[in-house]
Parts: sequence; structure tokens; C-alpha cells
Amino acid sequence: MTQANENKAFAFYFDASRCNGCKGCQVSCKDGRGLSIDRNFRRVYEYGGGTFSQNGDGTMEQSSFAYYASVSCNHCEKPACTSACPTGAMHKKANGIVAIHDDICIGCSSCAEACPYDAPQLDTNRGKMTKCDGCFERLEFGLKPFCVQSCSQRALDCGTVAELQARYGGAPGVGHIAPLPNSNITQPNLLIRSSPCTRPTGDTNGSVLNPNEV
Amino acid sequence: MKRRDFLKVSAASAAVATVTGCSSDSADPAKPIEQPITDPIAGESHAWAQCQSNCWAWCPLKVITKDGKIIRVEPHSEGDDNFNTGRIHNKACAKGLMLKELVYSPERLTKPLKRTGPRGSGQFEEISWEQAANEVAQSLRSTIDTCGNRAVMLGNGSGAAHSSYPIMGPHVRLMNMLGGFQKTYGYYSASMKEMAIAYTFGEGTKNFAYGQGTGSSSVTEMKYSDYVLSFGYNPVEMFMTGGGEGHHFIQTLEQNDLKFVYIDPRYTDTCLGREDDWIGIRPMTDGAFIEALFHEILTAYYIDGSHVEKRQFAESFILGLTAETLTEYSANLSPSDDNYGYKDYIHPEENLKDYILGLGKFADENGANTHAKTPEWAAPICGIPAHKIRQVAQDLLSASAPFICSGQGVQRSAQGEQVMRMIYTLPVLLNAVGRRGTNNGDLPMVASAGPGAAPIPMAAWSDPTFPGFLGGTAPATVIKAKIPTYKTYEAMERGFEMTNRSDGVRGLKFDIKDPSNDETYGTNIKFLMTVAGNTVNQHGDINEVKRILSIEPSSPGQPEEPGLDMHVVIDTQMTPTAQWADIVLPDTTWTERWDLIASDNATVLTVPSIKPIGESKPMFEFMVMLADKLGLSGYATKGRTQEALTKTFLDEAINGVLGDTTLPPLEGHEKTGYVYIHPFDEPAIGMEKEFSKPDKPGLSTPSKLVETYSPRIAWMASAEGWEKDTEAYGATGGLSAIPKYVPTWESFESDDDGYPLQLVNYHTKGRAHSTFHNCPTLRKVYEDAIWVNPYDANTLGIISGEMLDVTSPRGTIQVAAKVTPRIAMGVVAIGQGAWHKELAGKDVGGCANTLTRQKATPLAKGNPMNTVRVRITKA
Repeated sequence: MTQANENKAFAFYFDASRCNGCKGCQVSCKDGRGLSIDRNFRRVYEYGGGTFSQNGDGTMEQSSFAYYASVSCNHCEKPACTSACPTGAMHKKANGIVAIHDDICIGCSSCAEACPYDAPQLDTNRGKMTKCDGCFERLEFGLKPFCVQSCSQRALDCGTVAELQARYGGAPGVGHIAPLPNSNITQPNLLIRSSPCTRPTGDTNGSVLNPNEV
Repeated sequence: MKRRDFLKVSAASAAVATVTGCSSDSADPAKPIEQPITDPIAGESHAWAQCQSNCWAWCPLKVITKDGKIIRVEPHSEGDDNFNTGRIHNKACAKGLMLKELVYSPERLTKPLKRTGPRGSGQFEEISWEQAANEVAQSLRSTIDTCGNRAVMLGNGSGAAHSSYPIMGPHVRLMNMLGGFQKTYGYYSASMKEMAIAYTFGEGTKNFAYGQGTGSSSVTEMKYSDYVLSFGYNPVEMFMTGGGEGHHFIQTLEQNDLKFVYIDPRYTDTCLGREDDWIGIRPMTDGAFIEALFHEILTAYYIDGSHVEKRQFAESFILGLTAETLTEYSANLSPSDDNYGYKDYIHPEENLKDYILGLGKFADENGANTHAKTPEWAAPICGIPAHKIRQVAQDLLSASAPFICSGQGVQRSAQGEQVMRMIYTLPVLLNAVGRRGTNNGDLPMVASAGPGAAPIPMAAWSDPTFPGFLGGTAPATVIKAKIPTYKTYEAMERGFEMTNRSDGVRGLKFDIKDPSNDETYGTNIKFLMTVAGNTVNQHGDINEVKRILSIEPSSPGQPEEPGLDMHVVIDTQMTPTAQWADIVLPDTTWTERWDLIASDNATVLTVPSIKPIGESKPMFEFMVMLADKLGLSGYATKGRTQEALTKTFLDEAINGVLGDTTLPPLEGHEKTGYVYIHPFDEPAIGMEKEFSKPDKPGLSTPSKLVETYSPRIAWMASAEGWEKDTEAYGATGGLSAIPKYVPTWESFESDDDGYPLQLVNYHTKGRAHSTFHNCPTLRKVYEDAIWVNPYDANTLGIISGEMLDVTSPRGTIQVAAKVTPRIAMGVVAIGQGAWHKELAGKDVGGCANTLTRQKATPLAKGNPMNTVRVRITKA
């Protein structure tokens, strides 16, 4: 579709078949953006499940699957956060990046409540909401966001939707995987490549295995 | 957490935006105030450092500073990044990126310390470097004078590669110049496999530098294979780096749609959909599994008469496959063969074929083969249904190029040598070694150019006898007797009486027939210096280690009296080991000193990004002080500072005899250092030469064959051979001429004794052994919790997040539960390396070694960390 190829919105790409759950993205974002221990602009979810039973002879029937999903703000086409923001601090920029006007944010957390991706993270010290802004200042200077730069397995990328589609195929919001919510809600600008292990959004055969790490 | 739950349930919560009662429609439509765009790196400087922790990938780290402080660390992302050309970004993983938290940690050592309370009490006073050097020199000299150089030991340490590389380091040079020291053999990582590979394939196959030269193929050789069988080879977790082996593995499998079967009690990140089958085996039962594979293969060869070429290959290379080959070998044994002295111990009836198929000596009392090692026999032991075992055997027989490999967890068990000898035999049995797409069973090699030029001058430098660029001044004195590393602490109590027969001490004289004249080691270890090592935490059975270290001799210099006279620890952090030192010296971190090291894919010139914290000092500069006190005038003739030394190394690495003139010079890099990428080589086939001529085997064993039957081990196993630990290993002491599956203490088949679960302690992604434990961010994103299978959790009534007491016969740790489908039933797992912290009789730090046993394995005398039975109860 020619429309897709002209899509200049900022987007992330995530390759579940390559991600090894090293969390370089999550950690370098915290380091580069100076985030406190409980604040994560990007989180790596471990999702998995399996079935287990024992046979009469002491042998075991075991099946397991697991994979990782690295998720930040998806700079959605229909951001729930901007709609929920009572002051207009949460806004979508012309390049598609969803960002916060720090000076008019009142720290009410409405955006955080609204976002199905857990992207807005309250800075409790300052009483201000914070979130992934695509490292837009770095982008302006030709630098990659910390998370993309630190991805050890080249599983994470960013760019305009058109660029990412040209590089990897796929489309924003298509083929999303558990534990991500249905992409119809906010139309996230996130392209995902699945792996033989991944399960579609809404899957009930597995669960988030690392709730304390995200 | 509410928001996290939200993520999970939000698919059904499309109406959530109304929760707030507000919408942007009601907001003040004030114009958004855009932040001015400012250069995000203005005012920043950088310098290259290197992660020198022991995952052994040694990734470059771009340390970003501002106003003299580290503000963050970035991975290498300069130049090309193309796996197909071998020029890639040498990207560090999350651990290295957290260097800042190590540099500025609350546990950071900043001043020399001297113990004031009882050893281990944690009571210290600050002293000067001068006083520290005086006291250490005096104690060292006194130990050598009274007990000899054999009483001096350098402790195992791998947390700062510059200094602890096994064959180099300033402390090694110093000790060599003093006349030598106890350089133990075997590593915590790989003792059993090193011994097994030496006995099976020969000494010439052994590591010359750890991780290289084991005779294994490159990981990238998998691209020519159609079937990969992995016994716990787990590169994706072990080497998370984006420059090293994990990355090479992921890329290789991405490009080759082979069949991948992964055997491990844990469903690791090496799987994640790459596997065609995960075989969640019980710990320490791989031997039974492989015997069943042998059974299927030997049945095909000798009962069905199929796969003739494979059989012929196996028969030409394997000593001990059949009675005939053993009889023939024994009959023709010449005095020049190193097995000649062991001729009496070659028993042809003890051959692999008869043992596996239940024939000959191994038949039952009626002469029937009911003792055959069938898949049905192995299944209830290893927990894997017989049809699955049979499938693996069939796949191996039908694959054109099976790549058989192993990790090192499988050999860190009480029968680790036995299972490794089987793993090395398996590819030979299948004609799946030494040719395209195959491997010798061992841990594959990283697809790199190998250590570049940089380590070479450093290695030469540590040996003052080497006719090298820094010159030698000391006589060629070395301590030939070598104690097994896993007897480090035992040797502080009874080293004086250790012999080759009793404890596997190498280099001591012994007579094959007459034990009465065995040479004893003659002294206990009295002086211990540990650099960048944390063996109190990383040795087995911490409570036993603490007991031995707490022994204070009545007076110094008594070779047969238990207890250390002095324990010196040099490190950057107050580790559990430093707490048990007499003198603690603050080293600089990887970014506070000059250095030159090769990683998997790069040579890194490190220049300091910040000044050393506090009074910390590069370890080398302390060694210079010590050398001065000890009158070793030739110690540091080419540079007395770390900076001068590194510059000399660089010059040698470029212009020396073994130099690489393509390496960049210092000029232009004085402020930042550099990363020089070496493109990695074409895939290498392991042991290609050794297996190229079936008519003329050329291995480095005494027989030139694959010694699946080892005449030397046959002697050890005999009545006049090695002393047997019958309490731990039964009548045979766990030794046998051919490798066998042997149930041991605390194995699946041993009595439960109130400890029903098997424990494996794996290498967590959140630490490199015990390094990085005190990084709060890493502790948060890699939770230290004990993995429990959902089936077991249900039986025990355990839920995720509950605090548990995990108890073995040695001690109790307290740790949270993580119920996960990624662990086999009946097995629990914790990441090793957490720092031991005793509180009211429990280890609340959750260190695996509070649970492990200080019981050396039969042949390698190594550490069986994965042989542990535990019970879990709610804390």
C-alpha cells in the first residue's frame, strides 16, 4: 500500500525470534535517562507456559514455551494517554512521538491509568509523569535511542513506519503477541516479528513469568 | 502492581480511558510548550573500558563521563555491523552497562584495611599502603622461609581479566620470581571436562587458554549441520553479549533450519522457539540417557548390522569399544606407549559393547542380556520416556552431520567425568567428529579470531623465565606439585599429608604397585593471596569454608598445623571473601586504570575515564611495592605504573615478535583508548586433523586412540590404585575403566533422606558468577528466586513470591519462590553467585554454595555443584 510507505510516524520494531531477554534495552534506558529503580520506560516481559504430568513408570511428560517481549511507549495513533490527560501536557508531536510538557503536567496519573502498555511512569519525587519520548533529542542529532543502541541481538529498532516496513516488512499493530493488549485499542506504532514460541494477544495458555522484574 | 495487572487484562478493557473522568476535550487547550532541542551529548567525554568479568566475552564498554563522574555506559556500536562479514558491533550486555553501579557502590573498597577482630568478623582498621606492603611482604617471606613455596597459594580469581588470566598477571610474576607458588589445577568452571577430555582425546586437546583450544568446533560450524544435540550448551544465557558466542549462536541458527534438540532440566533462553524438542532431564542422569543412546547405536551396528561405515569408523578410533580391540591393543603394547605401565589393568571383558548390550561379563546369571542399557532401563531414571530417547538415537544415526555439544553444567556434578567421557565418545561412535558440520561433544568455540595479539606479551611477562621483552631475572623455579582447585580449603587443614593417590595431587611421586612410598605434599597452605576472586562465596559448602578460615594457628610458620597465617584479598568490593581476609587492598575498577585486553572480537585499549576512587590503586602498582620490599629488583624494569606497563604491552602487541602491526598505535587515542574489531574467522572444524585418517589414528593419548577405555583410569579404579571414597561413591570410588552411569550421593536414585528435590544452580543472566551482585538495577531486573515447577508448587502449596527456606544437609538459604514452567518436575533451580549473608543461622543472601557440598569428584577432584538435594519449606 502506498499509504503505508508514506507513513512518517515514529515507530518501534521488535523481533521476538531474536530477543534473548538480556534487558540491555531496559537497563540502558534507566541508565541513560537517569530513572529510579522502580521506573522503567521500557520493560522486558517474560511470557511462558507449559504442561506437566508424570507417567506410571516415573517418566515425565513436559512441554514448555517461553519468550520475551520488550515494550515501551508505542507512540500510538490513538493514544489513550493524551485523551485522558486533563491538562494537555501529554501530547502527540508532529513526528508521532507522544511526549509530556513537564511544566504543565500535574502528576495526576490519569494517563498511566489509561495506557494499556504501562508506558507513563510517575516520578514520585517530583510529582510529574514521565515516559519514553523516543529519545527525541538523540534522534535529532542522529543518535539512536538508548534501548535500540543497546539491543545485544539486533532485535529492536526504530524509525518511521515506512522505514521499518521497508526494512522488516509487517505493519504496525499486526500480529501482536501476548501479553500485549489488543492493538485495536490505541493503534500502537509497534511492528513485531513473532517466533515459533510466541502466542497471539489474548492467549490464555501462558502468563507473565516475571512480574517482579518489570 | 496495579498497572502490571492492567497490561495483562487490558485486552478486555477498552473502556479504560474513561476511568479518569477527564478527557483532552476538557483540558486547557494552551499551546504545547516544546522543549528546546539541545545536543544530548554536549559536555560529555568518553573513554573505552572493558567488562573484565568472567563470562569470558570481555565486551568493550564506552564509559561516558561529565565533570569527572561517570554518567552512563554505552555499548560498542561503531563501524560495520554485519554478521556475514564477521565485522560486528561488540555490544556488551546489561551487566557491563551497569559498571557505574560497581564503581560507585556502597561496598566499594577505597582504603587498605587490616583485620582487628576475629577473622570473618568484618572488623577492620584503615592502614597505609606502606604498612600493608610491609606486613604482606614480611608474612610472605616468613612463610617461604619456614614452610617453603609450596605453602603459598594464589587463590582462584577471575573477576578482573587483566590480572587473573590463568597464565598471566602481576601477582603471578611476583610469585614466580620468589620461587613459585601453589598453582592449583582445574577450574570451578570445567575441572571434570578438562580431565575427561585429556583422558579421552589426549592432553594435546586440552585448553591452552580456557575457552579456546578444547578441540571443539566453532559455534558457527553449526551452519553446516542438520542436527544439533545439546547437553545443556546454553550460549544465549552464558554469553548474553551482542558480540560473542550467544549472538553467534542465534545468528547461525537463524540462517540454518536444522533440527535442534536441547537437553537440560531448565528450559533456557537458548530455546525460546529455536528448539525442536526440549528434553527436561533430571540432573545427573544424562549418563543413563547416553547409555541408552549407545544401546540403540550398538544394536544397530552389532545386532542389526546396519550403518557399517559408522561402525568401522568407531572401531578404528575407539579403544574399548569391543573386547577384540582391547585384546589386540594389549597384545601389541610397546614399552614406548605411555600405557605400557598400566598393561596389567587392561581387561578386554570390560568393554563398552558388552557393558551396554548386557553381554559377556555383563550378562545376568543366566547368561541373558537383561542388564542391557535399553531406553526402557534409562527412562525411569532420567525421566524421559523411552520413545523419546529412541527418537534421539534414530535422529543421530540418520543425520548427515550431527553436531553434538555440551555446556559445563552437566559436568559440574558428582559423576561429571563419567558423563563427559560418554559425551566425547558419542560423536566418535557416530562418525560425527572431525568433519564438516560436526563437533567433538565439547563446548563449542566462539566464532572469533581468538585472543588477539594483546594477551600474548602479558602472558610472556608473567613468566620471568620467558626469554621475552621484559627480561627474566629469576631462576626457572616452579612448584611442580599441583593440588586440585577444589581442595583449596582442605589443603589449609591437611595439605601436608596429601598424595597423588589420596587427593589427586599432581607432580608428586607415586609407585603404581606400592603405595607406601608415595610422596606427600609436606605442608599445609599457610599464605593465601586472592586477586579479584571470591572463593569463600564460590567454593562449595560456605559454612565449611568459614570453619576452615576461622582456624588460627598457635604460631605462624607451622607447616602441619591447620589454618592460614595470612589471607590477603585484593578487590574492588567488600565481597564475602574480603570479609574473611587479614589484609584487604582496594584495586581500581575496569575504568580507572590503563589496560590492554582482547575480547572475543576486539582488542581494547583502556584509558581511565575517571580518577581512582579513594586511595584505590591498580593491583600491579601494589605488586611493585611488594617487589621492592622483597628485593626483587628485576620485577618491573619496563614500567612501574599501570600506565607505563600498558604502553609497553601495546608497543609489544604491535611491534613485538608475535605482534600485530595492524593494531592502532597509542597516538591519537591517549584520551579515549580504542576498540579495534577483529573480524571473526570462517567456521573451524574441531579435531579435523586427529580424525582424518581412520587407518592411522593420531590423537595425543598414549594409544593415539580415543581412550573410551582408559588403562590409566583402570589402574586408579583397581585395588592398588587411588584411594576410594566409598562413603560418597560406593565400592568403586566412582572410578571405572570405561565411563558408566553411576548413581551417587544426593542423586535422583539415592535415598531421599528428607531432601526430596534436586537442585541445579545455574549462571544467572544478572551476574557473572558473583560479580555484579551488588548492582541494585541488576538485582531488580533479574530476580533471584528459586524456580519451582508448577506441578511441584501445586503439590507443596507454594505460590510465586512466597519466601522459602531451602535446606540441604549443609545449610539453609532464604529466597523467594518463582513458580515457572521453565524447570523440570522434581527439580528446583537458583542462579549461583548471590553473596552469602548469614542472619540467625540462615543465609538470607541466597548463595547456592550454602547448600553445595565440599566433596571432590572421583577423577578430577572437582566441584560437583549440581549434585545437591534439598527440601523447601515456607520461611
